[in-house]
Amino acid sequence: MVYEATYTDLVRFVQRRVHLTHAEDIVADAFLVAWRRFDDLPTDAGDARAWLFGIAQRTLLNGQRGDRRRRALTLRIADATMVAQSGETWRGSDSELVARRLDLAAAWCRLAPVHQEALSLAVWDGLTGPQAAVVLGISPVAFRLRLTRARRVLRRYLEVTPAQPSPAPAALREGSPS
Amino acid sequence: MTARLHHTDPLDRATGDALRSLDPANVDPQVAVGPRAQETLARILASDVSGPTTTMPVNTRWARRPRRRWVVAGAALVAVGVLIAAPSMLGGNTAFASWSPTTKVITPAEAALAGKRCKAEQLHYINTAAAREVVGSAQIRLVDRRGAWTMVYLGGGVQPGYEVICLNEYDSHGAVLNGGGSAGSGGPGLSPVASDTVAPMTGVGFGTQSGATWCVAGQVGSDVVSVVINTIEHGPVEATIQNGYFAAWWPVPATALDIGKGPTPVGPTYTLTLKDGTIRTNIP
Repeated sequence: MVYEATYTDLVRFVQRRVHLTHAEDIVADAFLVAWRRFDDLPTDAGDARAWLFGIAQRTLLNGQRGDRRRRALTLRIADATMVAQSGETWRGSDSELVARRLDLAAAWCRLAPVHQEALSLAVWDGLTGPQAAVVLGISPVAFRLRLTRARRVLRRYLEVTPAQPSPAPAALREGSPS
Repeated sequence: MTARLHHTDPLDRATGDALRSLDPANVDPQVAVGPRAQETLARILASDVSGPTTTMPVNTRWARRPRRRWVVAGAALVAVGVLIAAPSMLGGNTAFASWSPTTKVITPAEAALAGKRCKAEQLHYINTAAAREVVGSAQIRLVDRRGAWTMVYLGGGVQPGYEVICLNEYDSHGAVLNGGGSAGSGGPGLSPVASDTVAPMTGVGFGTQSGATWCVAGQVGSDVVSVVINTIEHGPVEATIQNGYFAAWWPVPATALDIGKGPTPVGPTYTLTLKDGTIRTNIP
């Protein structure tokens, strides 16, 4: 069933953009909208998933009022120090990986929301270009350009961001639009 | 999920892997079948679909014909206009060998038992307070038996647009031998139908790997005494009429329900006989 097949992914999608405690509320609102527009549900499972992400995205954007209304949402990134410590043993070259994550997390926080969105849809959600374009309501060509720019900017930030030798929680950033 | 980073990207593979590992989402894989998700689903199914839609999704390129909203109570089922029951549920094409174009008479007790089974089937997957209220209040609109198989059409109650079709093979004690397929709809409530016609809803398919069935049901006008469905597969099929509703089902090739690969079942035409003897043909 579409609901159960996409529910987890939709919660993950929303969790990156709002506080964890609000994620399932947003998902419920998104599914209600989807239910009312069921005739538009794509038959392809991947396209249906992207369509639902798009509804959730607009639900989140519509939750922003007045001057706070934006066209893009800030995305959180995991705490690089916690990722390193919880699942791995610190050995030899691992310190290089940890440093890379710390750099990456710091660079991520400098990215514009539109670039965070593009990278998140491609890397974390695994969407194709056309599917990600549906989520953002732009053309596939526009998304491809945006993703390319996002990668370049992140690369540039990584080049100028020195590795952090100490496990500072610089990566944490609450991007809730609420 | 597969990342779309490749060797020409400005980001190298190691950076891409590191970025993937920094996904902040942390969700229990079972969240979709958890109580909160199921409560949400029950609330949505019980909602008024004609309510305001404040969040507009992006434009789609898909041109669609109207269709009812069907949700199947069962595993591995999809909701794409027609619904396909899990292959293991219906037992293969030979299971429908006993099917006949005319219906068998069943007793009120048998009909009541079949209706009870159908409701229990709906609650098997979504057994919340809201679902129990919606399903429990639904009325048995009709029961149609052909050969060993019984189709139950439920609907109405506290949620006027709620409808269910179950198709099962029961033993003499009412236990399910084969089947388990059922589909529920939360569409808008039914509108009055003219006295000399029928108002069929979109058909529902229950499929197997080797065979499938197509079910139709809907309202029937007060002057209609006979409904014959002109099917491509079996010619004229007599529908059951009870309580102002009609329904019928018939075997179709498995490919007919193979979404995207085979032809979608075409809406059949109807031949209606009215109280005064008038015969209306080719009713869409």
